[in-house]
Amino acid sequence: MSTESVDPRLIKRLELFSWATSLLAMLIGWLGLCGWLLHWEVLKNWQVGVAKMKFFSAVSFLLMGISLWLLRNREGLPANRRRAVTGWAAAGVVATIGFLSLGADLFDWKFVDDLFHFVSGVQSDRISIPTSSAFILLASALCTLHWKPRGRIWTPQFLCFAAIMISGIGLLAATLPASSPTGMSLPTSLALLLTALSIANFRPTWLLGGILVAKSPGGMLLRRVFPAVLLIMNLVGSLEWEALLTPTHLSWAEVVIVTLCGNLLLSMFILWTAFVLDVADQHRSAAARSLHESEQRLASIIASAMDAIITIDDQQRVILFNATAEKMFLCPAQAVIGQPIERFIPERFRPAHREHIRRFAVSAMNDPAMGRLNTLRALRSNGEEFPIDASVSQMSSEGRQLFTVILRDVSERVRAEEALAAKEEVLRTLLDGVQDYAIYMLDPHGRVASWNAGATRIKGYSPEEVIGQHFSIFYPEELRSQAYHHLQVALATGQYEDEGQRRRKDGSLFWAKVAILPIFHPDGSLRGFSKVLHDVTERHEMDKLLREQSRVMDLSQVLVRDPAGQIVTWSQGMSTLYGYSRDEAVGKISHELLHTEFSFPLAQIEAQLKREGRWAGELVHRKKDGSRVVVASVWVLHRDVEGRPTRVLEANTDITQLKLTQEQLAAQSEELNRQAQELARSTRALEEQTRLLQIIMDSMGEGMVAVDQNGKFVLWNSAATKILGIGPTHAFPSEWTGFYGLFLPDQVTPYPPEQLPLARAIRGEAMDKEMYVRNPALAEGVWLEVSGRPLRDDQGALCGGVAAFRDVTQRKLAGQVIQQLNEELEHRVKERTAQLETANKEMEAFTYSVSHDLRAPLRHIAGFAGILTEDFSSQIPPEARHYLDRIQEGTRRMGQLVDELLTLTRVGRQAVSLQVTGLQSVVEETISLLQPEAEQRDVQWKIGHLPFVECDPTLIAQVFQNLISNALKYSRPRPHTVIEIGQTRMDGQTVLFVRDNGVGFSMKYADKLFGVFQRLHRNEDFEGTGVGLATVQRIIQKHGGKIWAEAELDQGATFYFTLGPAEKANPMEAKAAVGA
Amino acid sequence: MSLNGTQILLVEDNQNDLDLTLHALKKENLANHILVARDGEEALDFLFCRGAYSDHSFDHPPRLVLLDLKLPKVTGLEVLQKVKSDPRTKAIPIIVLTSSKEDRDLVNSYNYGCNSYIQKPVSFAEFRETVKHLGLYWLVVNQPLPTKPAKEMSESCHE
Repeated sequence: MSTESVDPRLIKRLELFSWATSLLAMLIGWLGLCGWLLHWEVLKNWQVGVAKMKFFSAVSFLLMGISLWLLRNREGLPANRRRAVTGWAAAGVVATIGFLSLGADLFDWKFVDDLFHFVSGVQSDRISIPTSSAFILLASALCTLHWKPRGRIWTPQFLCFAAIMISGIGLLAATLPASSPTGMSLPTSLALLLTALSIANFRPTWLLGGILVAKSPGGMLLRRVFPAVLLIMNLVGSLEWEALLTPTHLSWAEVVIVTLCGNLLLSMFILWTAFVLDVADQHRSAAARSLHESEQRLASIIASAMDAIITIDDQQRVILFNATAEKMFLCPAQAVIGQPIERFIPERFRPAHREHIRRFAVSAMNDPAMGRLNTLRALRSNGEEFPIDASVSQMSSEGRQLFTVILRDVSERVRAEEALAAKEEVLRTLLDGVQDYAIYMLDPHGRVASWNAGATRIKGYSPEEVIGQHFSIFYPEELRSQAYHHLQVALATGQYEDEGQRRRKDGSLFWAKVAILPIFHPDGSLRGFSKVLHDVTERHEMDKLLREQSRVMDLSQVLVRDPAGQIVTWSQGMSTLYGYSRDEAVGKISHELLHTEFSFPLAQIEAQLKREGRWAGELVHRKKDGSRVVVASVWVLHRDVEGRPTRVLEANTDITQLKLTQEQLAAQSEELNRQAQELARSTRALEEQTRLLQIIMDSMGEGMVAVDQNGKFVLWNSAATKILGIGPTHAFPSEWTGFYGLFLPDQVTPYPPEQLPLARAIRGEAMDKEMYVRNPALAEGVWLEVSGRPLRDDQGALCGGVAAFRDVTQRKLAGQVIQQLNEELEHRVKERTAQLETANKEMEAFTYSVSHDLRAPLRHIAGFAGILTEDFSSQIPPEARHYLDRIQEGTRRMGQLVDELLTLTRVGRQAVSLQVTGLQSVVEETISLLQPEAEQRDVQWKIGHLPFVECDPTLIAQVFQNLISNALKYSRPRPHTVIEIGQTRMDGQTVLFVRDNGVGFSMKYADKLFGVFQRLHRNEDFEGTGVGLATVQRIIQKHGGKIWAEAELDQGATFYFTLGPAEKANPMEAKAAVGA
Repeated sequence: MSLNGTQILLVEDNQNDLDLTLHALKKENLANHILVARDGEEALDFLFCRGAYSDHSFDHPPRLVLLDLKLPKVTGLEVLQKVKSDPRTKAIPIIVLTSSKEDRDLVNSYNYGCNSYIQKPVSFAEFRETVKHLGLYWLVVNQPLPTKPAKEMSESCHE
């Protein structure tokens, strides 16, 4: 049942009724219970009849009321599961009471009486059979209360109905004068009725399919007639029958049955009628609803239609005017309805329109569905006229003829069509105007469909002749078969272009450039082809001519270059002349390719070329094979239309042979001339040179003499006289020794004459010698260094000798002193080395001895002190033992000191063996060795990226071990120690550093840091020998590096060191540097 | 104590060192089978079973020789060289026990084939500890060469 067909107020009322009756039934039950508990008989039977309400009946009514209240929920079960279960439990108790009572009544179960007595403590009669049955029915109804109805079938309604019937019997029987034969008391019957009614009305919408709350006539009938009929009938029947029928022999049962049957039948009838009415009403309302819906739909269609819809009656008055029509005619519907339609038709069409309508009404009377569509003119209310498409249909309604017109404003479409037509016209005119191109259309089969003026001019066909003809007629006979193929190509590739021979109407052939393009309909189907054709015959002729010309040109020796000098054209003749092929030449700079030698400066030539447009002259070129070629060259400048030079044409003719002949002749005459001049010039030059030579010779500091083959001096400069004290002699070479006083370097043996450098030079030998000169002309002996060289003529034959000599007396003396000094020095070095070796040996022996012998007594002292402490501890007073301990500690330190001193001396003696070493691993190893010292301490290591360096790995490990161990030692008082090891760059040099955050030191004492036995801390505070840093410094120095420290008291210390000498001088001395 | 029962040959010239070493060995219960040689010559006499020690047999070499380097007459290095170059004695473990830590001593000792090189520590406690480890290692842990007739041994060595 749909929600709108029920009356919500009725539902409310019936629910209220249900509550009310249920409360009333509970009240009756409660009163009965009170009667039992208070022994107030009046409450048990209300003084009507003999039967009383039983104790458990009263309990059952209360339980049923409670159950109903618990199960109360509009839809199905209560959400609270516990509530529902309790409700069902109450109903179950009632059903149990019912079953037990029924059993007791029917099968005389004695135990039931005992049980009831035991439970209640009240001596009550058995509950009557009808009452027990009713309880079972009602309890079942309560349990099935949430079952959803199927159609009009709802289980509890039948159970309740049965219970109502039983209560009816009870009520009737109770009113009988005789004691109730049913055993049901009046309050019990009434309570039963009320309970049954309350349960039945518990869900008014489910009861009898909700007909009771339906707005339909069926519902109304049931609500109004049913109670009235039952009430009147029972009441009247009861009273009448009491009065009238008693005397008869009708028994109470007969009376009750008759009454009940009457009730039953009447109820059935009324119910049936109500159902029938309800069903009819439902059909009607459904029909009404669908009618309403379809009207709504139609109205909305009309309102939202894109076309104007106007309906007019046979009087031409408007009776429907939709929203689109309002917009189209710019006129609201209210102003139009009832008005004649003619106001929307332009004046001039009105009579025709009337006639149309009349004719249409007559001819299409019986065919209202047929519309008529054509384009008309309509008039807007602002007087504007516009084109419309109209479709008219007519129908008859209530004897009237109605015309419905559907209108569409086609202004836009008409405008677009007009524009298109105009465009097409323009296009056609344009095409027609094209004279140089044949432009025409082909249909999909290749037949000519259009033809422009150009086509007529080029092909000679008039449009009339050619349209409809297949376009292959334009091809020469032998090519006709290709026509179809060309269309296929155009279709497949979207375009076909070709240059080929075509045929005119008169049969003459011409060259044409053709483009064919397929044209498609918007739906993709082929519409045809456009074909554009251009007569290129002239160009073809021209090309042919040009080709011939260029062939001729090619044989000439011509090149063309652009203004930049790049070769653009290179003729075959040029290739033959120069040997460069076209490919090799084109693109090259011509002057560079040919190594052009210009007879005039190039700038001058180009200026002339620019000025006169032409230059002619001789050039020398080089062929590919490197040979020179002389050419007569003619250059012609080519300008473009604006006068700008664009090309230079250069034509060259080989005139080498000619040139050569000319040159040979010229050269011969010139040679004669030249020889004569040469002679005169060389005579002059000789004189000049001789003079020059003498000047040079005289200005030299060296003595310079030359003799001819016979030992005759031919050259003698002034320095020679000055050095020797005597001028040139005419004596023979064998007498030179005596004459000039020449001696061997021993200063006493006369120089053998045949060995003299000059004498040997005459014999062709070159030599350098030293000699001593002492003669009366010289105040002191002179030392000479002499170079003798033979003199040779042009043919290489000996022709004398030359000697150059200089005074080396001073140098000689100085050299002697130097030699003396050197000898002394060498002697001293030897002596020193010997001393040093001795010292070294002694030192070695000393350290070896120290290593062995100095430690031995220490060990003995420590050992015996240890034995004393260990073995005689009981006999030694504690103070003595303390001293023994100090003895041991002292010896231990002494041992350590000895070891470190030995290390220091060993480092001093040891040679450094350099190898490339990764400092990273050295540092990591050192740290792991020192780990025991760092244990139990919070030490943070910051190890930077360390380099690979060339060093002695053992020694460098010792350096790191000392520095890191120091860092650990002096940071011991810090709760958190940070030790940083890294590299940095200072003055372009890699510097390694070890930094700690320990106690540091004052820079005042920085110079003492690296001294042996120098310490900046007391031994009690930080143990140490004062040798470690000295060792470190020695190792660093051995590597050619230096070490220094930066620190501040209590602020930590940083030790920097370099390995290897500084790359450049650096001012590190300013700092606390103690280094090499 | 018979000569052939000698387990340790202690070669030491310095009385003080000798006393200390013996004391330390005694403490470790290792002093029972010790023979002391006061110079290199005596040590060689014992090891090569000659002179005063001609009763001694090559079949019963000591299990350990503790050798000082600085010895009168014949130095420790010479002793070492001789013992290690003779096939009859070269298997005897020799431990150099000296004050020196000089590289040349170390290098020479190892080159001549010493089995171990120990610098005597200055601290008595350390010395005791060293001696203890030494005795424990060489006399207990280390597996000695099985006793063989000297002849066989020399033959096997020549192979």
